[in-house]
Amino acid sequence: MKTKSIKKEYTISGDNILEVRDLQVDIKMDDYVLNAVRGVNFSMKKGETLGLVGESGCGKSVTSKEILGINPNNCTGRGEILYRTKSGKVINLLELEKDGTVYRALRGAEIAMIFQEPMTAFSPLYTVGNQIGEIIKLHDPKATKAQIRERVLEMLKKVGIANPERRIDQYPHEFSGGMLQRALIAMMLCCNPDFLIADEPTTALDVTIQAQILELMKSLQKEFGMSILFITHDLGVVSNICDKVAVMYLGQIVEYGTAKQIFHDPKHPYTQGLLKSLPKMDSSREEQLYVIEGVVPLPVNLAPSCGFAKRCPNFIQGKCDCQNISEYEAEPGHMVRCVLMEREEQKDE
Amino acid sequence: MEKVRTNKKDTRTKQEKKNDKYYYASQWSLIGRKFKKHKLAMVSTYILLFFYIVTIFGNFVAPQGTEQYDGRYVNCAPTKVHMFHEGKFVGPFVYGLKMERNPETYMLMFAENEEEIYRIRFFAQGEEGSEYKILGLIPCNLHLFVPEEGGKLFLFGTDNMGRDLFSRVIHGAKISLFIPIVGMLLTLILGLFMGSLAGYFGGWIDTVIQRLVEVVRSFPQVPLWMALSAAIPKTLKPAQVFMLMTLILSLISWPDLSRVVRSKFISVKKEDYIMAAQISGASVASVIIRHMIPSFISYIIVNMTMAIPNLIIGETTLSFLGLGLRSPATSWGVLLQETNKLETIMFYGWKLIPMLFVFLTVLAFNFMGDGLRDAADPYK
Amino acid sequence: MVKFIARKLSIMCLTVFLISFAVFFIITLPPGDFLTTYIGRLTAAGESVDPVMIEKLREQYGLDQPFVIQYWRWFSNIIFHGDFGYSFSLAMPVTTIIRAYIVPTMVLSLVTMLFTYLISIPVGIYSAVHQYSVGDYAFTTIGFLGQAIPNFLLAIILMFLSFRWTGDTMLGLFSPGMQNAPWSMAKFLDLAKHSIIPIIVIGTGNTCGLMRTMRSQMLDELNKNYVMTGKAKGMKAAAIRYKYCVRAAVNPIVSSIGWSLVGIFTGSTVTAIVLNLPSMGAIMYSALIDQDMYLAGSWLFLMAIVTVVGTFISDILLAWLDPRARKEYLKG
Repeated sequence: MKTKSIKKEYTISGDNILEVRDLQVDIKMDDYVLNAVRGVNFSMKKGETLGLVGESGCGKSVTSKEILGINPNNCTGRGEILYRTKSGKVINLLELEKDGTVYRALRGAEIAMIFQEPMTAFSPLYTVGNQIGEIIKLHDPKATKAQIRERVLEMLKKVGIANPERRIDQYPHEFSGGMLQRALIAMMLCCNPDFLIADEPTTALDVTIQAQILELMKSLQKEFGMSILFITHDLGVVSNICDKVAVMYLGQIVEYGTAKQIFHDPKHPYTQGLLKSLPKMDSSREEQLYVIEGVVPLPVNLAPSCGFAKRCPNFIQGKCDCQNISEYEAEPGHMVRCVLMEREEQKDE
Repeated sequence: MEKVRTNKKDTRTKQEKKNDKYYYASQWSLIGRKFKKHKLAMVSTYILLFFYIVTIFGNFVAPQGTEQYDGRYVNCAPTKVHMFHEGKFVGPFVYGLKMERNPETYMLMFAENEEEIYRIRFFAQGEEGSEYKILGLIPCNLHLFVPEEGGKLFLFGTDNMGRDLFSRVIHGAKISLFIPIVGMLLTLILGLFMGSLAGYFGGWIDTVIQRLVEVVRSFPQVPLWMALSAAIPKTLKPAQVFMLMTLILSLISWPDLSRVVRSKFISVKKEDYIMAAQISGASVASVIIRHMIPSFISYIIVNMTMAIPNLIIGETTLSFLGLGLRSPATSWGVLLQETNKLETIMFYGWKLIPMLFVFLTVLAFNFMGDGLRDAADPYK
Repeated sequence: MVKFIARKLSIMCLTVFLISFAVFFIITLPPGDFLTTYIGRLTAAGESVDPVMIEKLREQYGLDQPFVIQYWRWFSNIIFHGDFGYSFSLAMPVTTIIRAYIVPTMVLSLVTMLFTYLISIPVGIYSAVHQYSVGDYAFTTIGFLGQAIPNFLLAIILMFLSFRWTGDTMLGLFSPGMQNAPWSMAKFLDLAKHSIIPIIVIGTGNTCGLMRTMRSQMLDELNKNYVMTGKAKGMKAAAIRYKYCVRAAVNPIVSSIGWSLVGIFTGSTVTAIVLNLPSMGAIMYSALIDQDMYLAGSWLFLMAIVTVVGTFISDILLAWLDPRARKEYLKG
């Protein structure tokens, strides 16, 4: 593995920090293989926030964990995940040894990740301060105990934890969920990473706390200037924080564009359905919410077809169910993976 | 567009239909499916089934009756079953037995007398003394295999009273395999009752039962068994001793189960559907039996399966030490009593054969329990 | 913490009290009282029995009194005078017998326990980390076999093998000539040699059980979310394992010391009988056979008390090791 990582030189365009090319992840189960991610492409610029949206099980979490190389051992990834390090070098993360020194030096220091359930993301057996300080010690072995404590206290203050001198020596069970999420953010920002993956960081929290955490992340992004890959199934959150949005369905990105494009001019029937199914403040009580019919199929031995075909209101027999759908550019920077776009392209011509 | 949509139902692939089946399968069929995947557990289940069936038809399978012995053939080594005599195929047969003095140890040993040939007959009438009654009513003397008149077939050898060990192992299984089951059922009733009382009501009832559990669990199991069994009067009939031992076994082993039941109860009690049942006016017994116990019954089955090996080892150990059943009652522990002298093992190694059955049974129950435990949580 | 310990202590005293009641109940279970047995034995031996003396004894032990008063007499004698009663089969006070045998019993138990933990914890960790590897399968198989074999059979087999290979059955704790020799290196080695089989026999079942518990605990911990956090921090997989997983997985094992003791005593009783060890198990056995219930009961009582104390230690250890438990205890 190690020799392989030096073999090839990679380049990515201008101010991009991350480019994911045709990423595929298979999960080996007891008696079948799950094609969790089936050819994902996207890129991210420095300081930009990309929202990765989709239902649970669509492969968004697996994608993000593959970037960090922390998927369980029964997962195998193919394709390219190109990342520009702080030193400016471009490396393919998929070629790195998962538990090797190179990858580990990146994790936490350059690429960090915050998780969905802050309550279980901490070990219950050590103090919060200990677990936050550990990341500093890992990436700055020369730091003394006093220095580490100083930095942890500073970070805790920054994420808005009151009374950090007392909090630093407390155990996770003495924190509330929102406080722990703040602590987790503090931990992950300790080493000033360039790239932060946020895997549904607000899903497990109360609505009021959600808003606080989102505000916190926004202000921290301004301060630290990192790129954020924001994974969520909550479209409201996306519209609040993201510059760009990628909608994922059954292991593929079905629509990609700026937040404005996605929210005001959705092209893919799935995105349209998602947006329609959002409850609106001004709708009357009698009005029923829109429901996308059917269930997501298991991604096992899928025949070439559009994954959404069976549930799609615009289903075209002989077209949607017998070929893999390619991406079409609806307008500059707005990619849609749907046959309907083919017709529009022809119309334009 | 509308027309296209109506076709939707028939376009489902085989894979999807299979997935649906997976989603909508009942809990029990999922458990069954997962259990079948655990090969060791399946093999163990078949072995146990075989043991229990043989035991049920024990009188038919065993060539010797329960009280039969033959003083002429004491401590006889297992007889070999031959197929060929001087190169000629005869079918299954045994040679006659003759006494010989071992030139090294000067001990009397049995050897084969190659002049006498006794064919083995299948589904034949047994010798005198091996009669039994089907269901305790119909007298019968049919046996699976019997050597010709005058021939002796001791598959596992004989003990110091000239009893066929093979037959004794089968007769002993009646106690060694069924005491644990009866004991387990009693334990189940006691444990469920106490555990559900403690878990459902909580408060002082819980405190009292918890103290009781703690007290019983503080005693080392085997010594407590020993003490209680020693208190069984020696004058009782084997059947009565059998009943008392079963009772003692379950009196000692209920606390473990009641702890499991209690903790399950406490966690289930908080579920909304229990609250709903209570609010809609269901009686305490019906809430417990219809709603709460089914939710964790699989755990209880697993727990019980895992408890059986302990009961088997317990019975065997007690009988081995002479504190449980005594001869002429037969159990695997009683059979092993003879092996507590080193000389016995040195010269009459076959007397350890019952040990093999204890070992296999316990192992099989352990594996089966393991498979059940994995399967009990089919959604994992 | 003091409050917590005090509360646990008071519960412990209550349990001991209840246990004593249960023990006394068992003592009085056999039909007739122990004097009847005693008289039976004397007459069988052809000795004449003095009815006056019997009456005196009966009064002295309060055998003419109701159950509760008899119990209180027995219990208060133990608590206030350290007097466990009189063994008729050995014709000496139970206390004397206990004093003679308690040390070898405890030493044997503690050494076995040490081995149990030293083996089961590392093996359990190895099995979990290398799940489904050859080593894991091997240890799992050994674990199952070890749990399936009754102690007395293991003892017999090892005794037999030892005789086959070394010509010595290794019965007892010392070779015949060494029993009364003064302590020396040779005597110590002899003791160590004789301890091997007992330790294996007593420890096997427990070790196999703990090994399997440790394995499943460890597997649970390895799948927890904080492992992911650790990886995201840039920690080495092995470092996460040892700092977080092992620490968490060991807690329930450590806190099972009380139950481990029960297992070891159970094992040691049977083993002592088969291997003829000078520990309390063998004494208990002959006492039971002779229906010398004071001796047997006292022994049972002591074992139960040791277990209760073991559980108490486990509780405190758990509170000390696990901050969540600590909080819960401190609250209540």
